[in-house]
Amino acid sequence: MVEDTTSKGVDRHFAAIFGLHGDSGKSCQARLIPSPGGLLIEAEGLATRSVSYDEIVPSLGGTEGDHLVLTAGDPQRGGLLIYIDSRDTRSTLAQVASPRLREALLRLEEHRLTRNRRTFVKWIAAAIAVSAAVWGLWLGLALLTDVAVSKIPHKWETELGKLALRKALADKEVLQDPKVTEAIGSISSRLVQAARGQPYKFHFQVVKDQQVNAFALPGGEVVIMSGLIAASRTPEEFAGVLAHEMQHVIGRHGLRQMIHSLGIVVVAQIAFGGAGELLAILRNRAPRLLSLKFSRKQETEADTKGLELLHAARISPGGLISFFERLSRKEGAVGEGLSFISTHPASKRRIADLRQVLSREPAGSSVEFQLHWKEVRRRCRA
Amino acid sequence: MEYQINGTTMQTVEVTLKRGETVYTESGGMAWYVGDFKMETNMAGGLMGAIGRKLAGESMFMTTYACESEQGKMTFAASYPGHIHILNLGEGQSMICQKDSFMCAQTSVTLATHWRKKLGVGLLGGEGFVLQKLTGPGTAFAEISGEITEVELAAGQTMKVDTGHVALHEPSVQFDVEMVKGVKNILFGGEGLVLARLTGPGKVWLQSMPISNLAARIIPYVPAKG
Repeated sequence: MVEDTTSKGVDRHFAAIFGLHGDSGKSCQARLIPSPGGLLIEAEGLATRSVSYDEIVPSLGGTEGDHLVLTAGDPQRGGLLIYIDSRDTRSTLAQVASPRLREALLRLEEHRLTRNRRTFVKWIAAAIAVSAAVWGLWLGLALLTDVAVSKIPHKWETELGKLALRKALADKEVLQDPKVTEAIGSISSRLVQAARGQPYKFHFQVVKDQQVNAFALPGGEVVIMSGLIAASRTPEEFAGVLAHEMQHVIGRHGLRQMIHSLGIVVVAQIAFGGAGELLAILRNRAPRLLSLKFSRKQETEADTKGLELLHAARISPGGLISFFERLSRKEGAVGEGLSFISTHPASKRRIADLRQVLSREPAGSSVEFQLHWKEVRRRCRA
Repeated sequence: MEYQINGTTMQTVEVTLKRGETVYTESGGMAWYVGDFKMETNMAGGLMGAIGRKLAGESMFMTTYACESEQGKMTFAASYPGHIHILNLGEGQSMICQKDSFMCAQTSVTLATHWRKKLGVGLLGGEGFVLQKLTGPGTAFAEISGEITEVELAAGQTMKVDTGHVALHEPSVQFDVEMVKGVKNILFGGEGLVLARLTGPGKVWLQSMPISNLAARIIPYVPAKG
């Protein structure tokens, strides 16, 4: 068996050998023939050399410390250094070498494997450490963003909202229908009155757009698509969506998302320093408010606080839930028109959460709206 | 296969192939050719090989050109200022190269991904975690950033190199990193926090201007956007 492997391996064993020319820094690619009598070395232009196994001291070396290095004699005085990379050559050598060398080679191989395992563990640990650092950074960013947001005056938000509003209305037509305006006014005024103690002045506008959607900009500008009114079966459903949007404004969600997107360096500067040049940056970015996505946490907050607002305004809070339920059922069928659903995914979980919040609230007496809602919806459908 | 290096600091290598001889390169590496060549692009080494290659700064796909006329001349151009280094590798002989450096080779040469096992070296060594390993037999061409200096280290002899200057080295050379000592040296020495320590035996080829250094000097002159 021993002879078999050597004869098969004759052609395939190579090593970089230092010292063959008497110069320890110059490597020479040579063929190794591990034979029972000793290690034969064949290099181009040199006579075949035989190294006795007793002369060889094995160790590990090379760039990654995983090459087998055979030292024969003193490398400074004409000795040889043999670097073996191939696993095949290593195992062939271990099979034919003298018992002493074989044992040393097996010990080294074991050592190499242990070290490889340790390296693997170290890399995994490093990967975990990096993920933890990223997570910490993300957490830090969230905390710093809160600090930064608290430093921005409300007046700035109003200005940013107005800038974004101009862009949003640029290609839209505002619905000028006194009946609709009056109805929206009577619903929104109840909500605004109930939301006392907040610093924003709300302003509601209806635009001609058949999408079932509404959005609120920082500072209190709320834009309602006529499609949303047409899709709301009762004024309570519509009021539910308005309350939700108003809570995005009061919670400063838009500003927070905007600042969050500036990156940790800028956010830290604002949090620890002043808001200084920030207004210019934010002004430039104001149009982004229109494509901004709120986080899931913010949506939940707007839901929960929206219900509280409805409660305070003595509007039946069931509207928000029934609206969601109906839209989520229709979601598949109607598709594109339901962009409120695409930005506010009405998952079962969300509806369940809403129901839970509702059950915690003491059932207050609600006051119904006295409106010709059917007529309002009809005017919005056109 | 015969070859000729042309140019001074923005070099090209022209290889002359006889009928049936082949060279391969990362896709997009070829600049021009005279004669008939059959081109074949594939993900040599399978998907994992391709991913490793991508990490090592090459393309996922490799292109092999086989000469189909009596003689053909194909030219490969360097992608950054510097020199083309010729590697004549014996059978089983390997060379470890910085990522990005492979240009082209005879098909008998294998290009593999060399993963750094030492964490510190990978993180701080200035060459990243993934390098290239070329194994002979055959001739290969590698790109060097800037001018090249060859150093031969005797067994046990060490040299220290600012990270990024090591272009290629023999696999027998031990590669470690060490911290620069002294707070003032770290802060004001301008050499960075770590130096690479290379221990012989073996040859090391150093490059005078790592592309990252060049980029760092150019960036201040790039007009800011908007």
